Amino acid sequence: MRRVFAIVLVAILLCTALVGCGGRQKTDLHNAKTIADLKGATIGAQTGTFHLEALDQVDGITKKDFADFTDLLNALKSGAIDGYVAEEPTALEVCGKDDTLTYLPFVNNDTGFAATDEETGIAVAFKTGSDMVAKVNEIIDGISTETRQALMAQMVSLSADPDTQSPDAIVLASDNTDTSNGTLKIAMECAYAPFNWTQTTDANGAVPIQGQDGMYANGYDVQVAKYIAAELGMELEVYSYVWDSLIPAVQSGAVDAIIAGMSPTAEREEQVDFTDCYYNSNLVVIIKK
Amino acid sequence: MEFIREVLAIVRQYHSYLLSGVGYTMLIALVGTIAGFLIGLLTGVVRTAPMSKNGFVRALHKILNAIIAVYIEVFRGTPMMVQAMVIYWGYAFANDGTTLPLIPAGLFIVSINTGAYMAEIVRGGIISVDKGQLECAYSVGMTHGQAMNKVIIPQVLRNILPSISNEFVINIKDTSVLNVIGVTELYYMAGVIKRINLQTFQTYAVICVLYFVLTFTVTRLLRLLERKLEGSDTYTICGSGSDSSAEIRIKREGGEQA
Repeated sequence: MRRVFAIVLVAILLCTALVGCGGRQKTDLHNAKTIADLKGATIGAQTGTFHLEALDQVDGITKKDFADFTDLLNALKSGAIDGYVAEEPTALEVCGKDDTLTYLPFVNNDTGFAATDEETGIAVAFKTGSDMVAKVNEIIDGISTETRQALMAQMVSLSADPDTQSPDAIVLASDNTDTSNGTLKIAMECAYAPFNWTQTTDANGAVPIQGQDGMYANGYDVQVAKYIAAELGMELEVYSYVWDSLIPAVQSGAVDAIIAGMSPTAEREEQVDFTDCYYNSNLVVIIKK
Repeated sequence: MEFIREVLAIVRQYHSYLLSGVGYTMLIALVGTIAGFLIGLLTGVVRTAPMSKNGFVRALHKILNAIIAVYIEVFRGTPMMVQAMVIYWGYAFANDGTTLPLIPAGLFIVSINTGAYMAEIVRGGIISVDKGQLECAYSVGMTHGQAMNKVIIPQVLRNILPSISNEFVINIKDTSVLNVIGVTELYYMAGVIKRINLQTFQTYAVICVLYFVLTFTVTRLLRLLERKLEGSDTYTICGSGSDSSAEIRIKREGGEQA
């Protein structure tokens, strides 16, 4: 009996020791100015994104990935990570809501970090071989850089209080009201403000999420999707899927397109066809002040 | 104090989400457990039935047994989350993008998964009833069907009730894995709320309490049912057919044990 107890005790101690390995040294980043200052820090990024690959270009950091983008903020606040990779509009949104946070420019700065336009841009994805790509490219190319910037600025400010109707009209709107060309079904996470988020009212041109009563999607992606659908003369339907289900959704034909702040990386290009980018943003690292 | 205020704010603001999440969770767990139990009962009876003398029926029985064995091993041996992904997206790919409606898909996945476990529970329940009882039933001229129906199954039901209530509690908690395909049960709703308010800890603390209330209520209710099936604590043995006063009343010791 005593021997059994001893073995169990040793096993428990061993497990505790293993768990203890998870503990980490925190790195003070509040004086950091460039990505070179991140040395020694633990930086998080969302699983399956270019953000995570981008971290490979930085020396001396520990990478940590999280499945849900919202969890990155919580990980930073709880001290599990020292910072996380996000796109600049997201950083503006997050830092606007929480004044203990700030961000560092991450892309193409003087320490030599490089990313192509495709890697920091976001595009619409269709099933491979779809004839929609060319049509949508025409529409996207017609949206000027100024309009894109203005729309993003508007979405960042709306995301602070999404359920209250703002007096301003949405910057990007189509004057085509004909919807005789059928339905355009699109998928997004509805959880990546200011690109796409979930709200509880249809304020500010939000679109109902299919199959989820009382929930609406809004954000940059939603407004661009509305514009594309209107220009195509189609009705828009928004579906909410987790990040890893977005590509299967379009491949299986459950939806027609992904408009979810997704970058057209080479790996994804093998699975789906991308249009031109409908927004380009800088990558940043969100840190505590 | 801050924490309590935030939790109350979540309950106040998102109670409709939480309640609808509780509704779907309980619906899927309840229907899944009942359907799983019926699957288990059916497969349990088939697998313990004696082989027929008729060659054709025997061959059919063997094939059926083999199918049941594969079903049990596959569904017991793979995680429900993986089954959900494979079934949901497999169906979509096979049917040119038509996706299964979410709630029926959830009910189906939980039912067949529970069925695989229940099959083993019921089989265990049947073989735990003393063989002599079956022989006794045959000897008074009952067929196998009658013996099962009148003698074995009633005892099996009572004996496996704790296991069924166990499965029910597991199902209430395990429906949470259906969030991967977007079934709007309680855990999914917590995800939605979390994405709106960015308060992960507070939101999950709320649904943690909700899950506990659900499972605790269910276990207590099923315990009551068990007690009821146990019958009264006192019973009477009639000592003599001719003298009705010759009866012995017995108070059962430890009738409370459960």
